[in-house]
Amino acid sequence: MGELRFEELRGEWVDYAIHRQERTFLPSEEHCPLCPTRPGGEPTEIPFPTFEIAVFENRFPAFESPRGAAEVVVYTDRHHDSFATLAPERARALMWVWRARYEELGAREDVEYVLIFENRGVEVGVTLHHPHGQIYAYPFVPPVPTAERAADARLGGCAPCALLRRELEDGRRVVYENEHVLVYIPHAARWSYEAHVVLRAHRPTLLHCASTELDALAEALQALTRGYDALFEQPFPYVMAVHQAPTDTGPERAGHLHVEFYPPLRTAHKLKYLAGSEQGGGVFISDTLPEESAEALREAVGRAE
Amino acid sequence: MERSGPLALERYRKADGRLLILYRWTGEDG
Repeated sequence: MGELRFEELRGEWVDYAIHRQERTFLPSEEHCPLCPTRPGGEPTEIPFPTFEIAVFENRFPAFESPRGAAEVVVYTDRHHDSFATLAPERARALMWVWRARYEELGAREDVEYVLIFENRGVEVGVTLHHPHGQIYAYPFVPPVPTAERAADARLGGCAPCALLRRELEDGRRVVYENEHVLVYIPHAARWSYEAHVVLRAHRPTLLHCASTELDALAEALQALTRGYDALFEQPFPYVMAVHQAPTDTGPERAGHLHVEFYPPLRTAHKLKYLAGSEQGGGVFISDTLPEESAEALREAVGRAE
Repeated sequence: MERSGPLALERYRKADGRLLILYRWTGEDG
């Protein structure tokens, strides 16, 4: 069981999950714990010879009942796939899995925020290469959704709705769009190739989406991640985070479903580091302009279609 | 078998008590 401590200077929680120090670190393919268990082979986390999508409670949880939860979502039993290379049907199925886990975890009394995310690439600290994401169910509302609520109050309504309109009017930072979803590099992106994948209609969570919207979301996410891989013609590292309404019992349950990507690369071979200004002052310094990055990424998304 | 939209799912408990859920796409909204 971890320990939560409150850091007064920044006004934020820090989670001490020291058992995670012992977690499996970059195993070879034959020792991958997320592969299916082959007949006569080493037992893995999934004791079946094949599967489509598997979800299980993390063996090394950052949060666990009765103070939240930590789950692993395995996208496929194929070790060398990625989100981008999943069959379209599997990507659509994944949206429904995310929806089901948000609903079940969010209904728990000890869960106030459900964060679905994926870390891809050793550059962002991945310890298992098998295609998978994670879910953290926090026993409090974290700083990012709290800031999003504050943005709603500042803009006098749904902030993602307002920002979406602004990006549509401007158009220079749009990298992909379909009937229900817009993908753009935001006006004030922190990362060179940061992208926001936003439902056009106001949908607080995956639970509010029609099945056609979930299909469109899967399509947009795959178009973007394929574009990322095409950008520098190499597997593109990123952190992907699904933003939805908090599940606390507060008076304000507003939110607007969108998925944010934070890729650490600023060129094919150079990483953006969080250094003095970012860590000491909380101010991102960017070496690139969102409009120029969007042009390159839009071209890569088109090339990867 | 449990359903969630177009998914069929089965729940298991691992030997150490952890939850495991396997999802299968049916393509039909249940």
